Amino acid sequence: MNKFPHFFLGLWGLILPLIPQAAFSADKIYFIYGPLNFPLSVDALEIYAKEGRINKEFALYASQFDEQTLIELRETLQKRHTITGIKFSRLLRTPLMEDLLKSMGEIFSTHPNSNGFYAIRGALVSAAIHQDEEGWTAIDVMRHFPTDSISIDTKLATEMLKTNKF
Amino acid sequence: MKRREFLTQSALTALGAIAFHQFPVRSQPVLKQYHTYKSWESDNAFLKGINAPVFQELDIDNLKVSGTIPPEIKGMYVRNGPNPMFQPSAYNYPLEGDGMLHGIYFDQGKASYKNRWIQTSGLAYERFEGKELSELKFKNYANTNIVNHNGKLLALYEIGLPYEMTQDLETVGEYNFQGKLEQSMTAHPKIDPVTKELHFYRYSFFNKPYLHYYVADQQGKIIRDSAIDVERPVLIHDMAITENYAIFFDCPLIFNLEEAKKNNTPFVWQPELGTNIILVNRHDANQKPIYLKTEAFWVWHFMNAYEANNQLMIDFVQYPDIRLESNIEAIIANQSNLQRMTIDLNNHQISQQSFDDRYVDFPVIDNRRTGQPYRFGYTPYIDTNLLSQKRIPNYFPSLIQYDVVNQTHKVHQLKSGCYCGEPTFIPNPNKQSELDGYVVTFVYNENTKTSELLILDPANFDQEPIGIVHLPVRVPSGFHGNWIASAT
Repeated sequence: MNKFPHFFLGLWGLILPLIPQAAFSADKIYFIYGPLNFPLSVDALEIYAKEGRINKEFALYASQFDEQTLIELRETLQKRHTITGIKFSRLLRTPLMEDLLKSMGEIFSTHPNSNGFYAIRGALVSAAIHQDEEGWTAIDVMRHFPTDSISIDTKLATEMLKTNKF
Repeated sequence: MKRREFLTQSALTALGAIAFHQFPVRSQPVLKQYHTYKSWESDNAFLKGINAPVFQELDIDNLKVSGTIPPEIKGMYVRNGPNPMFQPSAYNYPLEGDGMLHGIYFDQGKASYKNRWIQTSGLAYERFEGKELSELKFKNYANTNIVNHNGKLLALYEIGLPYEMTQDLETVGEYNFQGKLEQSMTAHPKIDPVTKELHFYRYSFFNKPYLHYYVADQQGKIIRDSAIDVERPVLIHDMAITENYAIFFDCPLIFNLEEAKKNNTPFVWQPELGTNIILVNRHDANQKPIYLKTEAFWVWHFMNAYEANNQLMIDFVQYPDIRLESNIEAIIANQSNLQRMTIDLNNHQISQQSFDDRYVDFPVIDNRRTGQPYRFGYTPYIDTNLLSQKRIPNYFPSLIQYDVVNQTHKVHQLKSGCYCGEPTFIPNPNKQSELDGYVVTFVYNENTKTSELLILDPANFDQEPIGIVHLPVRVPSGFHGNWIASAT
């Protein structure tokens, strides 16, 4: 009998407790518009992405958009990416991507008026590492966000969408 | 307990001891340094002939010298340039390629040579994998320039932070001015010879304001950070300073993420938008910059700028158009010559004249004259006929010395089969004149397939060199270098 695998298991036994476990994963999004904020659960978005069904909660927001925008939103949420966590982590550490993450961080953040740079990078890499055979989606990224909610600066997001920055 | 179990358990105990007790362990370096790395050849015009990378890191003492090396010069001429370690599947010149430094050290009339790759974090990932990694296409290559400020050697790329280097060309790591600089720094900072301040900037493609202007004092501490409005995210490669102004040319070469995603050069030339001249007051951070609009043109490099009689004189290499595609046709189509722009500071009238109709770039001066009235500048000559014949860029057959006061020039013609790169002016430490010094440049001799360092006398520029340092190896074409005088 070969005890060699046990040796490596033992090694993991030493290292694993040192890796912090993710304490949070976002289940809510807050759309911040000036002093106002509107909550939306990630579940409602996921239902829409997976089934195309607009539930009561999401209906409030969906009514703000035209049909084309909603279809595009669904495509964005459904889109599967296959880049591996390691490759994605290297990519997101290049100066050009850090520049891009910083501007995304102005929109998506852990708290209003803070830059979500590290949270977004962490969530993207984590979603890519934990992907299943079919890849990972934007919903997975939200689930890997390191706080229990995501703040979205709606004013800035609309502005950036208009100027076609992403 | 069986023998095997006992062994396993003691091994685990030993590992546990290592993990939880910090007794000193002498570890091996993670990435080994070799003298010779795996070589490859490419058919890409930007990676063959004079541009082909080298794969050895060498230390060569007591180099053979023809003529003499002036004994009063003591220090290092060091030049940066792209030298990809792993063969790239696609290569965008002039943006890509791992930076490699080539240094010639002068001491008491003797010369030695050393070359080293800049060990960027991106290169470390690739060395672990032993190949080019596509996700690191836009990594910080640190391949464009190397400057010395306050005794700190900084290898620069413009999309990323500087890499600090030692005098022995070993990599220290990324440098961010004690946390005061984020994201990136231009490859062409300017040192004011009077105040010894370092003037530089960074630009962003995604975050407004797109341009930030910085000043670091003589000790390397950032004392100014001014956001400057530019309308679009553009490539800004160089700046100029005068006694009272920092000068930026906002040319319409605009960043485009879609092109980047398609793996193309991520910049689009939009001449209909014109070029904006931005004059920033050096001494009053609250004063709004002056914006002047002109017809579109492109600039990579400034030669120098200065103020006289309430006018700004800006000498630079002007391209009426720019094509950034990585092919020889684009290189030949880019026709650039040395121009002087004069801006009247009373009424902001702009006038322009050209010094010469020859195509040039890589202008340099005696850096003791940066931002001051000056007389001489130097550039290699870009002979487009030669380039169309060679079908490979960066073969420059001669060096030109421009006298910007008398509007004359002298040409130093290299021997047949010899091609130079950017020159550098080494001042004579005991004298002040722009003619008391030496002009050096790396020259590739295609007959012997080796390189030399030419030492020219600015007072007799078209004459034979004072000295030639012969290298037994080739130094590939590169970008920018500087003279770093020894501290003593």
